[in-house]
Amino acid sequence: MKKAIGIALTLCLVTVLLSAESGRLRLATTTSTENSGLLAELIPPFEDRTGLKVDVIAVGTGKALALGENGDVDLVLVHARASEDAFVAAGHGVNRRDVMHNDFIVLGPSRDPAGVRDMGSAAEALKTIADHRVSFVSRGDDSGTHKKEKSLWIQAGLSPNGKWYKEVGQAMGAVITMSDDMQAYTLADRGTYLSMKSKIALQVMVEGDPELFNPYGVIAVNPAKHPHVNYDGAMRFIAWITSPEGQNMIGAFQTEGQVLFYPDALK
Amino acid sequence: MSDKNIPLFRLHDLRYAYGSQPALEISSLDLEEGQIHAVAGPNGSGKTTVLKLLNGLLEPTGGEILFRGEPIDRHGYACIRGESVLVHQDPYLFDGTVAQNLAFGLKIRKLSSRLIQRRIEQKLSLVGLPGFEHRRSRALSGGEKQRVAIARALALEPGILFLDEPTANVDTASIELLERLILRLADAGTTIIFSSHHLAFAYRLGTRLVFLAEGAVVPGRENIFKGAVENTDDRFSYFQMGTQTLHCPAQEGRFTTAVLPLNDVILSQERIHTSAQNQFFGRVMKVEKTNHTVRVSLDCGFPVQALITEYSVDTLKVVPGEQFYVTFKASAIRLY
Amino acid sequence: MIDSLVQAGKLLFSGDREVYYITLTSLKFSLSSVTIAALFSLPLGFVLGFRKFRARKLVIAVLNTLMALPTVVVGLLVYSFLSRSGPLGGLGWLFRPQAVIVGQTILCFPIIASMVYSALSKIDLRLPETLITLGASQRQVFWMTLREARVAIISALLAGFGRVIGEVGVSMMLGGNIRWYTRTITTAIALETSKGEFELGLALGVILLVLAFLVNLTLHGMVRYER
Repeated sequence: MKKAIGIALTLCLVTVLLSAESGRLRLATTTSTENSGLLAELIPPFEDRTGLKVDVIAVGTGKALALGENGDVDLVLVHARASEDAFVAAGHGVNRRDVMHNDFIVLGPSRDPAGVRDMGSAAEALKTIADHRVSFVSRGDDSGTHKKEKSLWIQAGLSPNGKWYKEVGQAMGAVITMSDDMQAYTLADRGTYLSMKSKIALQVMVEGDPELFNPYGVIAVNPAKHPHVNYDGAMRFIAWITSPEGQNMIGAFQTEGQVLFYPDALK
Repeated sequence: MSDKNIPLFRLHDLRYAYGSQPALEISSLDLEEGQIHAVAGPNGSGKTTVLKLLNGLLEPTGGEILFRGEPIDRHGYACIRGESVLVHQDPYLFDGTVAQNLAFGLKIRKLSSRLIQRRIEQKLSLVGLPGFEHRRSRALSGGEKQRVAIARALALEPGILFLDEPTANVDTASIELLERLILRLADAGTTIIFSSHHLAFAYRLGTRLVFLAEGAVVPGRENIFKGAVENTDDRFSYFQMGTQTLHCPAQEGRFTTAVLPLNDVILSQERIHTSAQNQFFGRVMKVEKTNHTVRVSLDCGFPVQALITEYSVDTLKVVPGEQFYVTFKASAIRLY
Repeated sequence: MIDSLVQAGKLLFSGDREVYYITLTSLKFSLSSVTIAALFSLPLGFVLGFRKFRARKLVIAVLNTLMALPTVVVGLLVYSFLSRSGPLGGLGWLFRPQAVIVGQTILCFPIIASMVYSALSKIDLRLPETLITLGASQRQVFWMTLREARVAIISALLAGFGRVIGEVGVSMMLGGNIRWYTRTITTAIALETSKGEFELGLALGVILLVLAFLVNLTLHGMVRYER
């Protein structure tokens, strides 16, 4: 009896430790990107054609870029232009390419206590919400969404403060659920919203403002800094998602009957 | 190969401490082969510690132990353990049958199962528990447990047997059995080293006595004579030691040991007529001064020690080689 | 709540490959970690319990402190070592099972070691002494003493297992929650929760509990069988 357990445990350890390593490409991206389901569409054809296995590590924007900086991944796909530029400028990454953009929307309770429905300017809507001191939930985690929100507040000319402004430090899906529970306003990416639409009562209050556009960039980790990275694989992936075929796939991707991403690579 | 001149164990500056608590400090002690050594003393005097150090269950914090003249190192401990077994006070028996307990050490030594069985039968008879092979160890009485533990130790046929407080937790009948067993083993050549706070037992059985108090060896204050009471009348019991006879207070019983305090021994240059019934003549062999009293060792056909004052030593001119009369009362003698 | 239970049941019996995969992965990682931790803590517990040495109290205090470390902190610490920019980056273990197992081993080691020590310190000292005096070798004394304390030692292993099977900080940070590779039940729960799929998260949680319960039963059953 004891021998059986011993053998089982040894086998366990062995199989776990001898797992294949070669031919893997590590991509760091944001949770909202991963959760949208786009990558689950884009990656399999790439894997089939190249024989590479793509490991997607979905974390916050800040962490994704940190992983790239440390050389723990081979490439990053994020949506925070300023941070991306700084990343490249510091020499952590090379070959940045535009990939696509999706957009953010302002969500809110159907009775719209702040009266921001259909406003043209997101910044103005936020200002109105602040003036009325109606509950607003913020990602508060320096993610792409959070950075966008912060830029809107700057545009609105104020610094949100007070019990009505809740910084929760959670991912998009949780934030939407919480806002729904609290009947609060929040800024969300359309993709996550669409995937949850059937379960929540929140509605789209503001959309279409160009300020709400959310561009994505893909960057390969600099092989000069980290010689061990799979630079070849990274470049092949970048080539794939910016190719006409890849870009078409991005444009064709739908959730709940709506297109989420707008390809930008071939403009 | 045992050279009778080399002591079995020689302790030299031996020290043991439990953590920061010093427990034992023996500057010098010899234990000879083939004797029954009794380590006597009150509880907490370090008796168990000494036994465990000798059996190699504990490593000294200082000093050294010489086993047959060789200082003990890693290898030495294996040697000691190969030749000796220690039986704990309130011994630990393995869960299972008596036979399983006895077989344990034998299986380790890879004896054949036939030989193991024979040994088990033999040793169980020896300790007075024949047929106990299949009893469960948890269902034994205190005395039976101890005897099983001894049988388990004897199964290994050790040359040296350590017994820690063998009379504790044990009924009188078992103690008598134990005494007979120990004497039998000693006759067969086994060296026995036991500890006890039960002085009568120590006196009765021990051929060599060591007294411990607070972790140190205390020089004995009594003469210990081995012999037997051959006759008794209404006045005295006559304790026979070889050709010498000691007059002791009349009492019933089988006695093997007569104990005479050093203080009760009187030396004189002339024969004196007193109420004391015991008077012998002998030669001084050794004179040792300790703390204002002097220990005088004499040979009267048997070794005797007396404790007298410095003043007396000077007045009587007690020096090695001189002869004196040695006198003591019958009532000073205790029989065990 | 009932919905989640129902969903959990459906998940388990639907034969969903992914659910089985993450369950198996959780089990593989945690069992491996407990095994490795045990390999170190059994001898350590033995030494702490039976040999007296000066640093003993210090070692015990350190172990007790380590038990209070949050999993994320352990994850961070190991990440800083295994990251490519860290001293052990050359091993390339990050975002692979190896890294998760290292982290989980560090998590469960203090618990197992201190419980093993506690179990062994309660052993009647006469047992090892009796074994030694009857001629048992050091190795035999070690194994037989362990056997004597086996119930308490199994409890120690289960406590260690419990700590790692349900942890998310280490798995997430060191494994990366990579689908079909290092995703475990707990990281999957974290993922579903972050997507707002609370019910699915709970359902997975129920599966985790069932798994832990089964492991417990198996190990305790083994002990009884031995008797």
